[in-house]
Amino acid sequence: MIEAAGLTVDMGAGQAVREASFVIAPGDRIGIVGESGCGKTMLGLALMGMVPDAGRVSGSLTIDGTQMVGAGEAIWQKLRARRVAMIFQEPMAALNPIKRVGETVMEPMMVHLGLGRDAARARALELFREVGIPDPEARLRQFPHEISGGQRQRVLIALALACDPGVLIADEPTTALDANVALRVTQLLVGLAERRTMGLVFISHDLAAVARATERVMVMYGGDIVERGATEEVLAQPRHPYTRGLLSARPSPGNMRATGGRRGRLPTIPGSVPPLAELAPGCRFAGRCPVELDMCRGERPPQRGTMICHRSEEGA
Amino acid sequence: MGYFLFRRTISFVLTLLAVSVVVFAVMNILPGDPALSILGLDATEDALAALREELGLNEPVLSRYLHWIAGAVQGDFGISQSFRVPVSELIAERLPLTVSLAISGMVVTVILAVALGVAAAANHGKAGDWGIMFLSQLGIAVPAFWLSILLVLLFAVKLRWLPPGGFPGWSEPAAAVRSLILPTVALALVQSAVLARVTRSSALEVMRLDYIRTARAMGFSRRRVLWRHVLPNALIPIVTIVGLQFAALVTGTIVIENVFYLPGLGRLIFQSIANRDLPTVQALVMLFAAIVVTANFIVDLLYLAIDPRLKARS
Repeated sequence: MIEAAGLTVDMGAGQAVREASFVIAPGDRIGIVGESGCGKTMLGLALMGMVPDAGRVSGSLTIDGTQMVGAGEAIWQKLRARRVAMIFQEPMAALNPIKRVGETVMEPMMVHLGLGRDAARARALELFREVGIPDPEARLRQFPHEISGGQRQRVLIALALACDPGVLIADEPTTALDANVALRVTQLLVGLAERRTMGLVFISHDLAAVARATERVMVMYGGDIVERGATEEVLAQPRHPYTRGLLSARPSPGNMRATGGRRGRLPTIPGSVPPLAELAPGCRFAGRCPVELDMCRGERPPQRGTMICHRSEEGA
Repeated sequence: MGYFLFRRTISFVLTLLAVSVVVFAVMNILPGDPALSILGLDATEDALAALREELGLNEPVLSRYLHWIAGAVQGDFGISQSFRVPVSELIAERLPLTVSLAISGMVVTVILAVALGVAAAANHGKAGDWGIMFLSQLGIAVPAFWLSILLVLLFAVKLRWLPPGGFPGWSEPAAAVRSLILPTVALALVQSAVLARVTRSSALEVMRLDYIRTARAMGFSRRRVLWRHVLPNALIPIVTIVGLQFAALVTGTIVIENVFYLPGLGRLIFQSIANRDLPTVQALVMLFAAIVVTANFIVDLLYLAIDPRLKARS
């Protein structure tokens, strides 16, 4: 169980995450979406106590009741892998290249759970089966460079599950994979979360994957959670101007026609995510927002139901 | 893998062969009459002719080379002109001391350098890092012979903990080891200064990589991440430099053995050059080259042991 209240990560140049509040209960599947540089990964790292040295974390973050803001590295080390585990985007780069993947998966069980080599090997084998790695006995003895990208991501998932964490944070777990493999990895993560009643935080800019993987979603922009709600509702009826932009930038038969533009050009959100230091003090989306008001740059937008925006719903 | 070993062994032998040609050519084809340089300018023509005959200098170059190499393969390097005993005997007497010195120097170098380099990387940008880098800069700048003299002044002359030089022979093991401590330290300090820097930068490089983040995300202690994940992956450049440094250590014994008055190969080559003792110099240069080539061969094998990806490629 993770509870964040007003969780803020200040990188010095600006706030990469601003006053995020949410609860992740066992079995919850939550998506975090947004463009690159929106603070999604930083929020994930904050939940692992792995914010870069320059970052200051404030607000409140409790994991299974323990306040983790201000907690030392030693306390975090006890929680990582056992309570919260994280997998990362690049499965090739995320595995130690000179260790057999079996050894990699066995290591946390031997270190944290005190298992002997044989017991750890047996459990690694079980985990490999659970994450759908074919011919697991042979795989245990292979090195990362000997297996495919999809298999490597499954190995990383097995590694993350090694100490049976309550919450799994998956940071762009399917981005580096091709579409078919991505789909199967997404389904695997959903299945694991359900079977193990494990919380799943699915960070992605792939809205289709988020739609498949999660029940609730948080849309991030410039470190703010600008909109949140049931995944289906948010994706079907986006309310925040940023979410609308994000959704309309998604290629689909509908919006290709809707643009009516020459050669079916996709609509885009004008501009790009500004660097932290250049974010407006008020609404982070000011400057790129199509329905911006005079007050947006200077004043923080209020929470209006499921979104934070100066515009009331009708006007947005 | 088998193919790699085969190829590497062939190139090992070919390198040694090439070295032998160069060594032989430098010693024998370059101008200057060995007989004249041995006997001196006022030697009679008869004496010179006799010595040339004795040294085999009248034979064609190729047959002299083949003769030399055939002997060398069997451990026969001819008779030393200044000591008047077989060169192989001279070498056999002195080899253990030089090899012990080089190996102990290398061991101390590696331990010191890896400990300091990893410590510096772990404290990147902090005071410990700056301190270690400052010391290593100092170590690189200081010549080994000067450091040796300082060590002797402090530990032998002032504190009287260790002998200032000389070697009692292996029959007194404790005294023998004591007399090798200062030379070992003198050899190792300079080399470890270089290696510590290599270790630090290699470790820093690895620490930025994704799989180190994975290891941290698994809740492993900083110590475990450093020694079990960072260091093994940082070893390739370290081992490369260690191979080169072993060569530098072996040649470094020439200076150190002279400073500490140790009867090893380094002193022997120095004396032989001074005495224009051609067969001895030739044999020793060949031997030093063989040690260096062997060290590089071992380094190549270590690469394979460290990184399984290389095994797949080779």
